[in-house]
Amino acid sequence: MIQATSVFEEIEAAHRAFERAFERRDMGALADLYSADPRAFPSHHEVLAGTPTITAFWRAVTARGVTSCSIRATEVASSGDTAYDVGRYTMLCDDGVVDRGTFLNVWKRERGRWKLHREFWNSSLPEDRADPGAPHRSAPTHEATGR
Amino acid sequence: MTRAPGLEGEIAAANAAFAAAFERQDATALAHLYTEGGCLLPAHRDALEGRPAIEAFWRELMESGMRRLQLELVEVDSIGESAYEVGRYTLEDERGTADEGKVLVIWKREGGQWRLHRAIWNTRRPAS
Repeated sequence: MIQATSVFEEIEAAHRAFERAFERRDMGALADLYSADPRAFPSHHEVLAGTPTITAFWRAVTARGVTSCSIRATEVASSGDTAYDVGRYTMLCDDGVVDRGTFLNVWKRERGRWKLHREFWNSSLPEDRADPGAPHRSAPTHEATGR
Repeated sequence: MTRAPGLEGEIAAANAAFAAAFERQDATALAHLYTEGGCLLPAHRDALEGRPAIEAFWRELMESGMRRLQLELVEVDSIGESAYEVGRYTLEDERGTADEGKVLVIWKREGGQWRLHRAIWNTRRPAS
C-alpha cells in the first residue's frame, strides 16, 4: 500500500468540489463526483444504488434545511485506480452544526479523476440527535444544538 | 480490475471466522481478527482505534445480549495488497433478529492472513 501525497490532495480536492456543489445545491455538479456505478450507505436506509438515487438523497437533505457540509480526509490509501479514505464530516444549517460524524469511502479513478464509488458514513452524535439522512425528520433547525 | 484469484473466498472465510468468534462470545479473538492499527467507525459514537478499544466495543455489545452476528458478502475487490468488501449483517439476540444493515470493510493482509483494517456499518431499519 502506497500512501501517495498526491492522491491525498486529489481526493481532498474532490471533497472541496462536493462541498461547493452541496452548498450551491447543484445536483449536476454533485453527480459528476460519482463513479459510473456508485453506492451510498446512509444510516436508517437501504443501500442507494446509482447516481440519480444518491443525488436525490442529497437533494432531500438540502431541502430539509442543511445548507453546507465540511468533509476532511484524515487518511488516504491507494493502489492503481482504487483508493479509500477515512475522515470526518460536519453538516450545518443556518443555526449551526446539525450533524457530525465519520466516513469511509472507496474511490475509483475514472478518466483521470477520482470518483466516489462507495460512500459510507455515520453520525457520531447520540441516536436521538440530528440525523439528516432520516426521512421522517422535519427541518433540523430545532436540533441544531451541537455546540 | 486486479481481483486476486480466490479473494472472494478468502474474505468469506475471514467473515466466517468473525461470525464464529462472535458466536463463542470471544471478544479477545474478535479483536485479533483486526490489524494492529485497526479502526472501527460505529454510529453514534466516536471512532475506535486499536485492539483494546475494539475488544471492549464487542464485549460491550455481547454483554448487551447479542448472541450471533451473521455476515453476508455482497462485493469484494482488491486495492493492491488490501481489499474492500461490501456486505450485509444480521445481529441476533436470544429472541431473534435485533438489527440488520450494511457494512463496508477495508481488509489488509497482516501476519499472513486477511484482517479487518477499517470497518463501518449502519442499520437499514428506519429510525424509530
